[in-house]
Amino acid sequence: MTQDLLIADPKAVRERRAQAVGKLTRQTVLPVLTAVALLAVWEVSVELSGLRPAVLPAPSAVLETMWANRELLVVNAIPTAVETIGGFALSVVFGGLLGILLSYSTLARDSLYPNVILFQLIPKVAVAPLFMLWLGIGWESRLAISLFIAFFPIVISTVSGLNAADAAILRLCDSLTATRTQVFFKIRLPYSLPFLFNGMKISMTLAIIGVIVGEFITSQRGLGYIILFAGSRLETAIVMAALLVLCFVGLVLYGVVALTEQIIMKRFGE
Amino acid sequence: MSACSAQSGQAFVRLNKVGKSFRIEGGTIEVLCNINIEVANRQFISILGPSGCGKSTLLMMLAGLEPVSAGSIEIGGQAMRTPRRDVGVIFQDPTLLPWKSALENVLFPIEIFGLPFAKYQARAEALLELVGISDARHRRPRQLSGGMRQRVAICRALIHEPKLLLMDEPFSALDAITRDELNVTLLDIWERHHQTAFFVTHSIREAVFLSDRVVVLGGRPGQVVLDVAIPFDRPRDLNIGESVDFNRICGELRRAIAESHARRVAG
Repeated sequence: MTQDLLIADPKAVRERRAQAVGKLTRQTVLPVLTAVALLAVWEVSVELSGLRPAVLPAPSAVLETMWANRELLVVNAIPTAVETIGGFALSVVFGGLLGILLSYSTLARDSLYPNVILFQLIPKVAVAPLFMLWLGIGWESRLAISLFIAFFPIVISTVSGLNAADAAILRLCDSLTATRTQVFFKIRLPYSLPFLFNGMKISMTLAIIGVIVGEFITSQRGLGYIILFAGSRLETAIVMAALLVLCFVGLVLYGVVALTEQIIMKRFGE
Repeated sequence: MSACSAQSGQAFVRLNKVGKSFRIEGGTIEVLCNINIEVANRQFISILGPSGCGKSTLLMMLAGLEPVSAGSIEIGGQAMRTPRRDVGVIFQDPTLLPWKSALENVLFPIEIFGLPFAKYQARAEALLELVGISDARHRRPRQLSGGMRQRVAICRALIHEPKLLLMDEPFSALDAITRDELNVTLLDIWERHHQTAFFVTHSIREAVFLSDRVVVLGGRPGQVVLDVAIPFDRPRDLNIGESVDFNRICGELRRAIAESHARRVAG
C-alpha cells in the first residue's frame, strides 16, 4: 500500500518551497515593475510634450489632485461601493433562484431560457434611462440597473454548476434513497461551487459597471457622478483620480469574492 | 457445504422470469430474458458473463435503480421496485465525494439516512481498520490510491449493515495484484458479516474464488446458461487457486461462456 505517499523527503520540500517563493516574487514584482515603468514613461512624455493638463495630466498631478480632493472622493466612493454590493447581492439571490428554477423545472427551462438569452442581447446601457423613468433618480434605479447588468452570469453559472454533479454519485444517492433536497444540498450545491464563484467574480465586475452607469444617468452622487461632472468641466485630473479610486473599490470587492472562494474551496475542493 | 439451489420457501432473493428490454431508435432491444434465480440467505453468488451480456443491468434491477421489464424481483419477501435501505451497493467506480475524508465518505449513508453519527463512528473506524486503511481515514480521495478508494467504497456499502450486498465489477479497474488483495479483503469481511451477496464480474477465477455459487449469463438476450456450486471450504486463501478442483471448475465455466458466445455469434 502507498501509506507514506505524503511523507515527502525534506530536500524535495525545501526545493518546492524555494520554487514557490520564486514564482510569487515573479508574479508580484514583474507586474508592479511594468506598471511603474509605464507611469514613468507617461510622466516624462507629459513633461516633454507640454500637453495641457486638461488633455492629459501627469501621474504626479493626478495623485496631487487626489490628495487635495480626498474628502470628496471618499464621500462619493462610499455610495458607489455600497450600491455595488447591493446590486451584486441582488444578482446572486435572483440569478441563483432563476438558475435553480431553470435546472429543476423543464417547464421553466423550455419557456424561460430562450427569453432570458434574448433579454441578455439587449444592450443594457441603452435601457438604463427606462429604469430612471420607472424608479426615479434614487438608489432604487441604480440598484436595478446594476442587477439588470450583473445577474446573467449568475444564472448561467448556476445552471451549469447544478448540472455538473458526477452522474455516478447521483446514482449512489438514488441507491441510498436520498431525497431531492438532500441531493441538492449535499451533492449538487458543492459540485456547483467552482462554477458559482466564477459567475460571482464576473458578476461583481459587472455590478460595479451597472452602478456607474446608473450614476451617470441619475447624476446625484457617487464616483460615476464625479467622473461625469468633472469631465464636463475639463477637470481631467479629478476624473482620473476618481477612476483610480474606482479601481481600488473594484479590486477590494473582487478580492473579497476571490478570498471567499479560496476559503470555501478549501473545504469543498478535492 | 454450500446450499446451491435453495428451497423456494427460504430463498432470500428471488428472481422470477425477469426480463429487461430497452427502447432504442426503431424498436426495442431485449437484453435479458426469463432469468430465474433463487438465492438462499447468506449465500455469496457471482454472476459471470462476457461484456454486454446484461449482468450489470441485472444488478441495477436488484438495486432498484432500473425497472424490470418483465417478471419480478423479491428481496426478503418484498417486491423490489425502488432502492431500499437494507441493500448496499458497490459500483464499478468508487464514487467517493471528493471533499469528504475517507471516514466521512464511509459515514455518508448514515448522513443520508439521518441516523446518529456517534453511533456509527466506531463502526466506520473498525471497518476502515478491517480493510487496512485506518491510517488514511482523514485523507481525501485524491490522496488515496485506486485500491484504497475502492476499500473505502466497500466500507461505505457495509456501514449500515445491509442484508444484501450488491457489487458491480467493483475491482475491474484495478491492477491484478491489487485486485487479488481486495478479493482477500472482501472475503475476510464477508466471512465476518455474512450478508447475502451478489457479485457481478467477468473474471472466472475471481468468481470461483469468492463464491458459494456461480451463475453464468450468456446468449442474446442474456439467459442463465450454467449454475454451479463452488464446494471449497471457508475461510479460503489465494492458494486454492492452484488446486485441481479449482481449475476444473474454471474450465467448466470457461467452456460454458465460450459455447454461449459461439451460439450468440452464430445466431
